[in-house]
Amino acid sequence: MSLWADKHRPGALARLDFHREQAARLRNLVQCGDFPHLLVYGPSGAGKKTRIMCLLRELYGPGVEKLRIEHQSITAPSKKKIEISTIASNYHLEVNPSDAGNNDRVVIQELLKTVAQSQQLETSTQRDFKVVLLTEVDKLTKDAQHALRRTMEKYMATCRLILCCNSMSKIIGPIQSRCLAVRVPAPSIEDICHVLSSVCKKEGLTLPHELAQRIAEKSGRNLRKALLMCESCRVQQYPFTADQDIPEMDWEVYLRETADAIVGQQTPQRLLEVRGRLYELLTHCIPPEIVMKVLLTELLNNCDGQLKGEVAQMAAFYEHRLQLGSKAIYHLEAFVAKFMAIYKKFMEDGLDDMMF
Amino acid sequence: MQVLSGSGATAALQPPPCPWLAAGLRHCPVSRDAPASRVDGPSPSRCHSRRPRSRAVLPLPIPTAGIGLAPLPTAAAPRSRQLRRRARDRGGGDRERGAGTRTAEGSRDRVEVTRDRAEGTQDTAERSRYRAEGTQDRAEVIRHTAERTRHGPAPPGPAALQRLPVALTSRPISAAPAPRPTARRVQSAPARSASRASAANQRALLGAAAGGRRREERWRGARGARPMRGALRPGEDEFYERFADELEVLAELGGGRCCGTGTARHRPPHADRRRRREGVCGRDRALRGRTRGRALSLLKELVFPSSNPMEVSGMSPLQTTPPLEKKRVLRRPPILEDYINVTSSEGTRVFLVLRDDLSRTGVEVRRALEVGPLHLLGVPFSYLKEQVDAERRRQVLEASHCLESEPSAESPDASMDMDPAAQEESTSHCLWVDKFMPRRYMELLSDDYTNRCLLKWLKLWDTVVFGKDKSGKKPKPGPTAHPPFSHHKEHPNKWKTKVQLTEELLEAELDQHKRPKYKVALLCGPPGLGKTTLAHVIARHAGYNAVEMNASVPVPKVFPCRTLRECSGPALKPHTQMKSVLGSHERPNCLIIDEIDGAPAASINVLLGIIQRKDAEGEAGTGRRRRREGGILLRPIICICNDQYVPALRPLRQQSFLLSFPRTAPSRLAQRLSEIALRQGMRAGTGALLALCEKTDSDIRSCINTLQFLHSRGQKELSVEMVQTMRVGLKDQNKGLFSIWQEIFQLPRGPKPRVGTDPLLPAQLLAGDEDLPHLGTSGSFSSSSQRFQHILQLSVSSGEQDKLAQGLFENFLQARVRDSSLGSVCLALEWLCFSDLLGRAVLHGQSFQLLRYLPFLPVAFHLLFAANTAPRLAYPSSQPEAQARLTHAQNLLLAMVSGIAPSARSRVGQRELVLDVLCLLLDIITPKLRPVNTQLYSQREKQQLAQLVSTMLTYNLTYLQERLPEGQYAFKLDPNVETVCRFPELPARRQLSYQAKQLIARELELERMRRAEAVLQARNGGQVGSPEGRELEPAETPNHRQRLEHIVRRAAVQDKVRAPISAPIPTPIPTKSLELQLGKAVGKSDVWFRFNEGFSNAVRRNLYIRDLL
Repeated sequence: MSLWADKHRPGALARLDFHREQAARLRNLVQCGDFPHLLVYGPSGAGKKTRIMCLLRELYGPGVEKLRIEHQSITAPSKKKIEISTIASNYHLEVNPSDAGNNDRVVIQELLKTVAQSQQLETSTQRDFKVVLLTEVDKLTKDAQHALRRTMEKYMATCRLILCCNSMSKIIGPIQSRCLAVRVPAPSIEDICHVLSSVCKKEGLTLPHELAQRIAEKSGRNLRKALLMCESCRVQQYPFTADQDIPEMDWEVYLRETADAIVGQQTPQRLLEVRGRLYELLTHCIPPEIVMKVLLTELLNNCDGQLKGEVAQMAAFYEHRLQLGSKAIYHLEAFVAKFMAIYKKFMEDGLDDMMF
Repeated sequence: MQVLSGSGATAALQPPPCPWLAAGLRHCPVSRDAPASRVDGPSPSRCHSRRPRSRAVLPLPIPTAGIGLAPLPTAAAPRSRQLRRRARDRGGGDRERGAGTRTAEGSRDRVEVTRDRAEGTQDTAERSRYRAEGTQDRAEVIRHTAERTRHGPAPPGPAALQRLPVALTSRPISAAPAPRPTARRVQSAPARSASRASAANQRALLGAAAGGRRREERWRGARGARPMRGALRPGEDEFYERFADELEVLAELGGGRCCGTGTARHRPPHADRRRRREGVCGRDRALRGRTRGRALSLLKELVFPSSNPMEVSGMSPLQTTPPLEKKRVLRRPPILEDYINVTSSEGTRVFLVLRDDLSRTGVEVRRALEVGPLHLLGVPFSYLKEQVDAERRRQVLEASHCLESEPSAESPDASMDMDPAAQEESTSHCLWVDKFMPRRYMELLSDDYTNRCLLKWLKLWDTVVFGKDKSGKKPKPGPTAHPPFSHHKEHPNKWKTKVQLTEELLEAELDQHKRPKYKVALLCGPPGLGKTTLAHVIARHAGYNAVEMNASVPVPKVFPCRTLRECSGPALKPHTQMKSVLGSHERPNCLIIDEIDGAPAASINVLLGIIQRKDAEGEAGTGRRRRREGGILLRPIICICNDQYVPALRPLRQQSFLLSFPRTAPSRLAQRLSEIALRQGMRAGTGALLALCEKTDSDIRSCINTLQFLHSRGQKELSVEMVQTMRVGLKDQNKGLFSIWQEIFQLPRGPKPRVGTDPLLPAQLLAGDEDLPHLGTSGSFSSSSQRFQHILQLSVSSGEQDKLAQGLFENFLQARVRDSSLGSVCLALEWLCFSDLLGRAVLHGQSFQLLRYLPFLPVAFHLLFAANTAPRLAYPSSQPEAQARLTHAQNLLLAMVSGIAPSARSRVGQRELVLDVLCLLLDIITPKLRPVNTQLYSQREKQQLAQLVSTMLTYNLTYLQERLPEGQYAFKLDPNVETVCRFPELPARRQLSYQAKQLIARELELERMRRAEAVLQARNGGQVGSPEGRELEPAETPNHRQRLEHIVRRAAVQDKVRAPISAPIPTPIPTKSLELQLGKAVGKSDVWFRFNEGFSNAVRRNLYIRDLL
């Protein structure tokens, strides 16, 4: 296999490294051979997909790991052809409906219909349902979500849905209530350290605990990231040292520099520069809400405690607008400008205080 | 009034065609008796109503009476009018019956009546049309009656008016209503209509006036040739219709008795017409809300009796003493007599006693009058009639002109000077634009340089067009054109600009056919600058016959039409190839294609094809073929467009000599305009003309059209205020985005009044600017609200809100920000966010009504950021650029994701790839590889390499060799996701060396082949394949482990393993020597040695290992 993250991924519920109680519960869930629709949610890099795949393997055996990619073309009512690729095994189908953009409703309905309408031939040896795994459900349009809620009930006999998303807040209530919600929290630092060291052991490397700790902290409790960091550390320099440089994501570094620039000077010219940087970030496919979030954390690191509340509130306001609007750059820049104004005022007030 | 009791049945068939009734004498008191019967109350009106006719007949009136009673009529006229109205309310339709009666009334009357009858038949048709309007009109009339009662007449008669109710209620009016000259009566018509106009009820006003106009128009349409008399009918008919019910009731009431006199009908029709015409004017006045109109017309009534149209016949007004009559107007219904009740709009009801006309005054008077003409008429009656007819005709004409140019009747005597203007217009129908079109080169208004360039380009064709016929460039009619050229040629040394570029184009060598390099000249510029005119004038000037095709007219013979492909050839060729055969002057054709930006792309392609295809043929060079195919393009083509950036024009633009038209100099335009105005007899100051130029954006056509329009409306003078307040001549201008941005970011220079340019401006503002001294503070006034309006108007008129907002977003940070606290910037961004939300709601929620709020964004920006200095503006490209880059990045990611192995792919979506994986992945796939042969790698290194290769394969990454522009080769990641995850200003990551990449690329290739082979094998071997594969796998030891001793050892081990299996059977295998076994193992193994014996390649022999063993 290729990356450590892929190579050392546990394949069974029993071999999961953390959240063991949850794993046990999941095993109990599938042991009776049937289970309700699942809604698995949690931050990225927490192991949602891993758990889902383990679950499926528990259910169907190793056959689910023989994956293939299928390209399907679906005709929308408006005669528009929608191309979408799915990952499928004999027992399950994984699809990311948000790939279809606005036509996700059609995709969901069509796919579920085709899957659900084909009955399993050997019900004696196999389960009598298939599993459809929908990823990034939080990006579904409301239309699609409403379409989903009927479909979920209609085809309950022949298929189970597993929905996978980061945040449940964007999923409409009816769907939440139709599913068994499984939250997969991010692994703790210790968990990550443990996983890192065990992976390194398997690779025949020795990882200093301090480095593991640092990687875990730097990864933001994202196991995938942590493993990748570890691997790139290995590529950089093998005999690990505790104070080794840990490679970072470029966009994070860039955002941090942007935040520094914002804090450094508050003028329209600087705002213009920041705009350029924001554009840069957006064109690198960084989602604007992530930009906003990371920028906020970086800014909060830089600004005074008194300001933090106000800044966070503003960020919330502008992020809300960002979600409502369509041109991210306006909202991001509005946030930056607002921060600049507040920060500048704060600094000037502070200076005045010092003068008197 | 006199009514034949028996004529009721005929009345419907034969309406009395007396127009006077329609005019004013509607309120005839009704008496249903025989001719002699009459109503007491309104009898004066009857007298009046009779008089005009008789006066028209009697050339010699009783002057003394008229003079003696001169002061009276003013007082009496309104009253009598009023009475008439009232009476009409009771019902006045019995005039019809009167028509019959009249036949008994003397010979003169008979003449009239017969004539009336003849026309009456026509009128019945008319009447049916008006019937529908009747009901509304009745209400109006009643209201008018009331109004008149209330407002009364003009100053002279308040006393009479005040007395009136009393008179109405109690006693017959003792004071005999003054016999008034017809002139007075006629003139009273305007007064009436004016007073009508002044009535409080606007709706009634408008309805009445419009109704009258409508009627007249309709009538004119119906009658056509001989409109005079019939025109007057409608009023009367309408009156009849209106009161038909009452009349019938009356008829029943009255039984045998009858009332009224029919004489009232006999008012000269022209008076009615005049009245109506005046009414139109009056309506205008009313529309303009001038209450003094009534007073004015009343004044006119008093002062200008001489305007009596009857004077044409050379007769002085006839005045007779009205007969004394008894009247009874009672408050309560009389017990003994028959009565009619009349209710005013105020609710007071009076009762008019119906009485037998014992005295038979009406008849008597009439008889007395009737006798007159027989003796007194100096001129034959027929002659008089002709005269009257002629007069009517004239008046109808006048009235129609008046109606046509109705809105211009601003001054009271507008109708007077309307005539010459109207006549003039009727004589010259051509537009001034055509009339004053430049015919010669020197007359051109457009920019000199442009003119010269085009002319020079056209002259380049001389060699090919004229060269053969006439030696050289002899027939150069443009001596004016050449000196400036040489003059211009010197300039470019200093300025290396567009000008020079154009010059170079013009100086360029002719091609092999002696044609200029660019076969097509493309003139582009906003409308109304004289492009077409220029093309024509220049073509003619250069000795061509200009053939114009308008590309936007879909005539099948012209260039862009449906059957374009077929017909464009024939359409183009004759123009371009042959000389005009028919023309006596054998001038070569020059094709002018106008409005080519409206042409479809296909037609432009045909044009291009004609230009290009023939080029190619020309290169082929054979003249015969050329001739056969129609030859090369040998004539110039001038294309004209407004927008050179139309996508369809793009290919043509590259192949054409591009000339963009600058704005006409306002001074020149104003000068030309003043010449025109002078020649047309208009007074126009330079200031006004300059203002006009500015208003129309130096659009020549628009300016001249505006002038002509004003002129045709009778305006003889053009003032600055007029230009500014005028709504004419405004184009629905679509300003360029840059100019809009400029205006947004720049404060207007000086308090320039921008009146008239924005229709949104409240009328009060306009008024304020009309009299500047009155307001005084117009400058400050224009500062905020007018700026607001102006920018709002600008942004509304530019349809591209999105682009506009983007431009503002891109540029506003460069604008000078006044407050240092970034407040305005925050506010501006708030606005942008807001507009974004709006846009989203519009597009996603289909709530398009929100679009109306978008134009306020520029206004906000203007108020926040407008400065005095000119802003440096940049076209907003960053957003589209960012979009393009984003799409590019997404496509790269998509390409990468689509190739990722399924197992990995299910774990990483695009988002995860970008956020978590990609950057680190790129670090991971750049390990430090020793730049040596792979064979020399240590085990660990080899393992690392294998892992690297496998990772890259899993994630669908390879290295591709690319040739750099410098000529070197480089390996690049494919898909090049580095652009997605690397940021420009960060320190560059370590890159692999060229060799390392090459190595990896090669390994990747090998591995890929290996895998493909494995897949193939698995497929071919089917079920057998997989176990075999599994068996083979342990056997396939990596290269580095294939050492001889290993092989030997393994062979031995295998042998040992096999031995026990085969133990029960004594086989020859154990008997074989171990050496042989070993040798076999070694020989069969993948490792083999080749020993080249000898010093050189010359002596060589294959030596196998088994030979050694």
